[in-house]
Amino acid sequence: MADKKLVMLVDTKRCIGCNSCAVACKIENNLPKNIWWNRIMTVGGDNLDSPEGEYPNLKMHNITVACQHCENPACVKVCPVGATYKDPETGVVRQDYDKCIGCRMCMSACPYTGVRNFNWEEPAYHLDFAVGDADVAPHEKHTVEKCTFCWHRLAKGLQPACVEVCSARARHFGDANDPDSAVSAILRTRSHEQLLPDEGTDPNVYFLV
Amino acid sequence: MTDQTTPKSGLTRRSFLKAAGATTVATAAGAIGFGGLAIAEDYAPGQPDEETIFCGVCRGNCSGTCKLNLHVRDNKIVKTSKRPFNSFPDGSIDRICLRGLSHPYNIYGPNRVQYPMKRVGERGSGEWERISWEEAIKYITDEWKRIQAEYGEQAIAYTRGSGNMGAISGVASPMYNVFFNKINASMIKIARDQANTRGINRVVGNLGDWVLNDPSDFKNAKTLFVWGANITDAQLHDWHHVADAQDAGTKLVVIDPIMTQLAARADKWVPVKPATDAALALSMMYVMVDEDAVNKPFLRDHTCAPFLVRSDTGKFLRMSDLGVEPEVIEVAAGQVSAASSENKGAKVNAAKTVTKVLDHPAVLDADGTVKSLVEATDPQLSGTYDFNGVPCSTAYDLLVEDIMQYPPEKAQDICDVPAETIVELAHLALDGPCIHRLGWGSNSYTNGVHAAHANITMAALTGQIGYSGAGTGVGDFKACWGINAVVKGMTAAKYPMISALALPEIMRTDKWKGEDYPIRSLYVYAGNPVSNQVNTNEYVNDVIGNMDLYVVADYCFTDTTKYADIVLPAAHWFEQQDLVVISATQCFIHSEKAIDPLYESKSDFEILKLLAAGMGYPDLIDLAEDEYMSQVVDTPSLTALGITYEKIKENEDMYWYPEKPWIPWQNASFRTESGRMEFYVENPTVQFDVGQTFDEERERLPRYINPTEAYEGSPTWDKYKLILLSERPRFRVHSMWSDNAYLRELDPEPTIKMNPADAEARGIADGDYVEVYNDRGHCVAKAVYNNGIRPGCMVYPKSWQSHQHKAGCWSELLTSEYDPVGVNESYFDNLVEVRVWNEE
Repeated sequence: MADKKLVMLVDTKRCIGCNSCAVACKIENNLPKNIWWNRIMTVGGDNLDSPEGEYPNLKMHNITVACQHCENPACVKVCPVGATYKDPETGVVRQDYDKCIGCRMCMSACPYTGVRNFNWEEPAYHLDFAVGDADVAPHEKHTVEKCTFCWHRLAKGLQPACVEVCSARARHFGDANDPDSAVSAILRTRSHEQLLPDEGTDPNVYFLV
Repeated sequence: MTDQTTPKSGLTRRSFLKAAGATTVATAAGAIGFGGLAIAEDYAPGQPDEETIFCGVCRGNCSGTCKLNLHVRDNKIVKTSKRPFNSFPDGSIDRICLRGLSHPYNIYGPNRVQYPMKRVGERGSGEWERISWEEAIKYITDEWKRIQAEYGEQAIAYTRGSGNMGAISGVASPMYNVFFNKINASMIKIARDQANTRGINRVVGNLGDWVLNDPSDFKNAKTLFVWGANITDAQLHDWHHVADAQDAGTKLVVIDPIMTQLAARADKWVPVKPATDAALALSMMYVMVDEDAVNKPFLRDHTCAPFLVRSDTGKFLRMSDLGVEPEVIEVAAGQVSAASSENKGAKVNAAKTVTKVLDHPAVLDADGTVKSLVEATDPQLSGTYDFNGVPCSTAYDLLVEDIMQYPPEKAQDICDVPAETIVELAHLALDGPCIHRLGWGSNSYTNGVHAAHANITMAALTGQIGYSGAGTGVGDFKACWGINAVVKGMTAAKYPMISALALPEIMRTDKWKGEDYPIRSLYVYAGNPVSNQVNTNEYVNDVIGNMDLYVVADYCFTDTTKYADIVLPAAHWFEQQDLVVISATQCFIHSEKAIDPLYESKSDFEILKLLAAGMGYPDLIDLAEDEYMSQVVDTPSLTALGITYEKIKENEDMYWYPEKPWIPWQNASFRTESGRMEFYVENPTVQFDVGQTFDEERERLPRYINPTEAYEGSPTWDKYKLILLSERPRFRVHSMWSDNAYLRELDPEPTIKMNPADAEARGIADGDYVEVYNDRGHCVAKAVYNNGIRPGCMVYPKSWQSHQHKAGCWSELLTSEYDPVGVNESYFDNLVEVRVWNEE
């Protein structure tokens, strides 16, 4: 077992689906055009901000969807070259661009459709210089990429960008193996859900409900 | 449209959700903490360039004015991140949003205006030639001289939007008045969000255009009522205060025709019929009066309730009527607000004191005699008095008579809110303390003044105002008090301000209030009126169409620059320093210059200097920015609070009130003539004098009246049956960020949100392109089904630029009718119809 169990908590009572976390991720990681590692979905109707039910008997909340950094990641099992792997120290599911051969087995294996992105072409950008943090790995053609839990920020003792920017204070991040951590305290007191629990992947992203 | 795709593709939402079950996960105990994490950098990022971080302020009109770190590498702003406020060491105000995060594209994207340009094609064709700054300034000022010689000095006009909250290059700046007053130009004032102001301030007095308890005080309320405020879109920065309050046990009641993200989180959502908030509030007051639950001591001591009102004049019976000579005293003139609602030259040579006439209202005392308010021991709330044959009633009795017209059984038909819900709301509002936050919803119809008047009157009945957890007002835009507007070079304006709503008629007739008043040139800064003002076709044809010279200064191309004869490249916020003095944070904030102005752009301050020189006043603006900023804030009243310009720069931000959280109207001290809440308006006045007349009697008390257009049975009801509402979406701030490519990936094109029932009745499928139309214009957008839209209404996320629509634009559809008292743009007071659009 990893030394640490880094987890992300998203409070669905506070999340208003504002997309600030998605944009923070996009800029921080200098994501190419049309690549989003973190997305927001309205739980309700089929369109953005559309509730479920018939007016006025309605309900709506949001979920954010990115790599779930599973305890039991389906992607790791299928990667033929070890490019996607679980970091033994933190439990973060990582992606080594240099090893990735672009076979996209991980994308088919992952039940969380869309959290892994594949650069079919040479990555293209909206601006002609790199935005965001200088320490993020360059994006590569024919390579799978996804949320890193902002690995480059963790290394500096910072929280992932999406956590820092959440003006709703809906996101929490920390070590669930540490009983004294804030995330452990929240998980002890708040009801929470994981996405697709029946898949057996045991995500490290929890939705507080 | 662009080739951008929505990031939703590939996601199958339902597949996630149906399988998401509640689990309880046992976390392994005994592991080490997170603090000592050492992660190896096992991919080589290379040697990062040196990064310098500046303190910037994001300062559009969401009112958030968030402090940002501006990360500069290689002379480019590569990232913006949130920067803590020193005035709030608890971190409660640290924040950023998707717009604040995406500045790099606004700065470096292709939409920047790079150099001065002169129109060569038809107006609106977008055909220009590049010219030099010298040529541009010479052309503009030569034309201005010609126009002034030919049509008079007033024929040059200037106006703005709300695109910069700065005190030097933004809307709070005195510098525009310094220059334009010097050349005796006409100031055109935008007419936005003033109905709330008029309705509330005529009862409590002026403490600013929009004031309410600081959002951090929400948690001290038992119930927070949010009336027509889409906080979760339009004031994202305030949402956590609401969530914090809910965590602390505050009940959230949201009164809104639309199921917003905020409404979805409410303990009670009241889906009210649009434009009927006044009837709802009046009916809640009916319940309070009917149950004899009003706060009588507060009414007696802090409101005009006991004042006797003469039935012949509608005025208060005053002691002078009873032969007591009024007393005349001198009182200190009020402080100056940074609010931009007046020409800052108005303070030139302003007297330090003003004369006040003390002619006390007469009241009925407990012994049945009529006395001066200041002498009565127990002024009565009810009663009549015969003044030489003129019957007089108390203001409270008149209010009650008005309120009694709105029993819940009647109001439910007006508001489409069940009578029992109205009773429940009244009980919640009585069980204080409560805060009522009013938004821009009810303010956006021609009956909006009365909705606000009704709401603030309810506070008079409950007495819940002016203390922690209790208040009624409009959040959350605050302008500081105590600044100096009379900076070096300021002169008084020669001509009065003109409301933007009056401009079309002036341009059509060359007359203002019956006198000749031609205007031939308009200078626009920090604004995009073509996109953000009502009735675009009228504005383009009658206003711009009758101008000899339309000049627009902006940092990016907009619907308004499209019609300009001369476009001037303004600098982006982060390419200049400025001082923010209008802020929801209630802090003065200094914004540093992080990079030089790109291309040939110049700050608005520099542009003004060039224009002044071109008009023959090269020395008019001859101090440095720092010196003007110092002149604005280095005043005795701010120094007394320990605030100086140097200290603001040093601390980056400084809170401008003596106490935290700020709560207006403490100790029930109001800024009316009597110092009380005057829910009976003795002398109704208009928000803006455009030479109009109005029904004084109607304005004395809050009433429910129909809006102009947005109701069943209105004059255009036979042709149009859908009320068109807008939302200020989180993807833009008005029209700012509309061309930001990052945000456009998430929100790629104009949409119109429809209830599926309304759509299906018109043969419109989810995702169809549709044409929304009325007599004023049309607009094409993609229809999206949304069950949260009230049937009979449609909602459009506002301020897409016309090039982003297949045809038309939203503002074409909006009425330019206005209430003569509020003199306010009524964005929601529209009926439209919609049909499938089959053209390309």
